[in-house]
Amino acid sequence: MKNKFYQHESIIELVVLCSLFFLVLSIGFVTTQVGLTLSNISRAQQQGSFDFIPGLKIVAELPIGGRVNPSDSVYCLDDEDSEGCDNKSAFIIPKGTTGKLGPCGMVINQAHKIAPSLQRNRSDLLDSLNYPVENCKYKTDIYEEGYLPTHFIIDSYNLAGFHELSKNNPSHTLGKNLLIWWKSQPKGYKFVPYSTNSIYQYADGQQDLTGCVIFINQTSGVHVGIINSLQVVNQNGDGVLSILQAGVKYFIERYEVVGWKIKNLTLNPKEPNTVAGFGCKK
Amino acid sequence: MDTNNLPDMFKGKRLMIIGGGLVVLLIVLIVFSAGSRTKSSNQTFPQPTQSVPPAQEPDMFNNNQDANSPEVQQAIAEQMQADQEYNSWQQSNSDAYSWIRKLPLTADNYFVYFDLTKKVFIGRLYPKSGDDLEKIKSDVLNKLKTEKEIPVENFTFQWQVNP
Repeated sequence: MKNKFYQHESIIELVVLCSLFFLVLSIGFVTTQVGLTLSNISRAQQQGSFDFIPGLKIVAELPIGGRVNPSDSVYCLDDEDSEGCDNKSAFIIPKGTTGKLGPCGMVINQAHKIAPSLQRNRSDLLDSLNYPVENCKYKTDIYEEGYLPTHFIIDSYNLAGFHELSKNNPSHTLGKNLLIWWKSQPKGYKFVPYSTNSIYQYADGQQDLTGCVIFINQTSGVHVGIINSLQVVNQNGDGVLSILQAGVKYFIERYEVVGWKIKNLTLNPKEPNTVAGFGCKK
Repeated sequence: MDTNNLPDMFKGKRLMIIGGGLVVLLIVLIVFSAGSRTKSSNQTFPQPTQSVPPAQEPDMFNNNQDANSPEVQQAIAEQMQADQEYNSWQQSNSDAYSWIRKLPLTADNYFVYFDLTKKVFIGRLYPKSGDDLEKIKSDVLNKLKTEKEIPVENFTFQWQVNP
């Protein structure tokens, strides 16, 4: 009887010891979690951004400033003249620095390289390239006029070392056809349909759209640009999406993002422009 | 059963109950932690119903031609027409609302933009507990008028208060 009781007591001791072991383990786990959270908050505060949704970078405010140089890491957006920026209240837009890395560099960096050569020449459109941009044996040529938004896309991708697109191919030169080409998902490329989720995933780092092509459906065709950055100012999905483009009045276009939706694509509600999606490199 | 050992037995059972309780607590903690992490990484959003068409043979697009070929020239002409529409849109925006590129106005408790379709200002307010809504609205209007030089009195404002 006594022996049976001791056996019973040793089982209880084993259970208690196991419980204590798990208790210590759980205290350690909780402490680590709290420590990591505090560390993230501290780091985010130092960087002026907050990271409460994992991966989501929120800028404390949209930065403003004055004149910048082409070599600076930001663009300045004046309200009237896209290159002027004498006004200190003009928005400062960080140059995108991420996205697909090609054999000859990042796509977005090639777009930044083309920017200083892009000028207004015979019209008020940014449709001339004053000097050729060269990288990895690919050269853009000089354009006195007629440098299209699609040319800007094709040149940026080729300068990065992706040679599937050509300015001598009508399936690539025409935005409408370029959209069809991208939707066909040729090898090494992917099409991301526009949705609130695609914008959210861009914001939280799951799907980097920097360097991807944005396709905007219009009544007369498809306009294209290269996505530069997304500046999110709160966790409710409000912010600004900036794109780079050629062949039109402004090099940088900014669209308000409201609740993860891209807004203000149109003036005429009867003929709304819509974002078809994003063409990216895999 | 030895009745003299009864108090010790009860003591042992108590320990067993405490130990068991701790194990259950630990399991609950782990499940809760894993659940909240999954929830935050899998937030769902309303999505337009769009689908990607089936892949076509990429070869059909590899028809590089001479730059002066009629097909390339036709594509360029069509694209210029589309660009003209986009450019007109940019120009119309600037003409009608010369201050449009000064927006949005943002702070930690509001996001204000001009809706080009509705032709109204939308103020999304995110008040914290104790914030005076009327003061936030007044601050917004004041900043738009003085800092951005926008004639706010000529426009309608729609305020959206978010909890």
